[in-house]
Amino acid sequence: MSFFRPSKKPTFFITKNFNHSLSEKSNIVLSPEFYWAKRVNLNVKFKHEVKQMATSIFSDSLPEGNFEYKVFKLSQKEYIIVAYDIEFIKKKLTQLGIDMLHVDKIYTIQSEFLHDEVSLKVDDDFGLTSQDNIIVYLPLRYLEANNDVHRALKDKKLSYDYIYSNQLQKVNINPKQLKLLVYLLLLCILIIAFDFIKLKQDKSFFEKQKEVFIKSNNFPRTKLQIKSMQDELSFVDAIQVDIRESMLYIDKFKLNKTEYFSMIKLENNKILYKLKLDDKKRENLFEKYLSKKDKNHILIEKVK
Amino acid sequence: MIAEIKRYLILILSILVVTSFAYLANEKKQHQKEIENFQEFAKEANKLKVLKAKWSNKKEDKKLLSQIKSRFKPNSYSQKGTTHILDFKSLDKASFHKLGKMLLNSNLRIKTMDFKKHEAKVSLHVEIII
Repeated sequence: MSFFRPSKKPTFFITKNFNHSLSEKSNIVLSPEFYWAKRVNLNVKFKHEVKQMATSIFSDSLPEGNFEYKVFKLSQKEYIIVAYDIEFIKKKLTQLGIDMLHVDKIYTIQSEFLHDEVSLKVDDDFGLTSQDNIIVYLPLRYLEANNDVHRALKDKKLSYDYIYSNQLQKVNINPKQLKLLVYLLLLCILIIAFDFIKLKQDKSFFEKQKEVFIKSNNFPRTKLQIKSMQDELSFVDAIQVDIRESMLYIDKFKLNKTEYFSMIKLENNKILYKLKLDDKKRENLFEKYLSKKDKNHILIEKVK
Repeated sequence: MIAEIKRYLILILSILVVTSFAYLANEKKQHQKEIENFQEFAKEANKLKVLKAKWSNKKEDKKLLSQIKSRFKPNSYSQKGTTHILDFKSLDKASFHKLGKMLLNSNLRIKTMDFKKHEAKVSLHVEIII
């Protein structure tokens, strides 16, 4: 489905003598036999104003039917109005053996050669010519056709002025449903907009809370800085806790009355000691006691 | 043509709904991620707060140092930058135990500690970082 580009589907020019069948999705261009056209000179600026007047312009000149109108602007005040009954056209096309499921868009030949001087051959008997910009379908003997309509359409880029679209039928737009759909979409947009405003408020509240937390505790702003400070203090914590544990561990060893530490020195994460013990056996016992201490950051060494 | 315009209107509104919904969802996701990141940041920051209170509480440390100075009267006291140096030349056994306990139970950052026994008395050199 192409929304913005004219379709690349095959194009067929249809007259009431058409006797082929469509095997794939195609665009069809109707000969003037299927619609009525009038050239008018009106002192109005816009096409929709002309369209409002179309019913009265065609009054008494159209047969019974449910007619719709398409307006083409030729110059500032000159318009061509095409009147067509789409149900009648669809019925005729079906009678010609055309499967409507294979019809993508229906155009009038009028819209496709609006500003051109046309003199085209349709078949061996009929042709198309333009009179005051209105394209008419005539026996070939009344005109000098220099080109074939089928070839001309094949090379032509179709306009946006189609009178029927299968895609539109599929969407089945009726004004009530369209309004409902538009309201629903607008409601969705409104809900999203409210949600967005709420999110903005949440974000701003969160930023304020974050700022208060950082400023009140005098924290650095990045996680990296926090981590670096934390690592530094964690190391201090580990060393200081170990110093205390080591000191208390040494202190817990039960000395005899005559035994004593003559020196304990803490320097560069090392505890050096001089201990006067009663005998060799006691010295071994102390060393064995020290060896049971978990070795973390602080080394305990004997000074000789 | 009007039907075409209406169709385009629905199409544009639908695109607007879808894109704005996708944008909003993305923003929400980012906001959620920011909250999670901040929760992680706050967790680490609180750990730091505890460590700072323990090992970087200058006010408490200075208070304790002045208590030590007034109670145990060091023979010499000096300060080099953040290092406070205290020398006790002849502490008796009881004072030494009290001072040792006070230092080891405190959260003062002990840099060096040098204890020597001289017969019944004890000398102690302590360096503290505040």
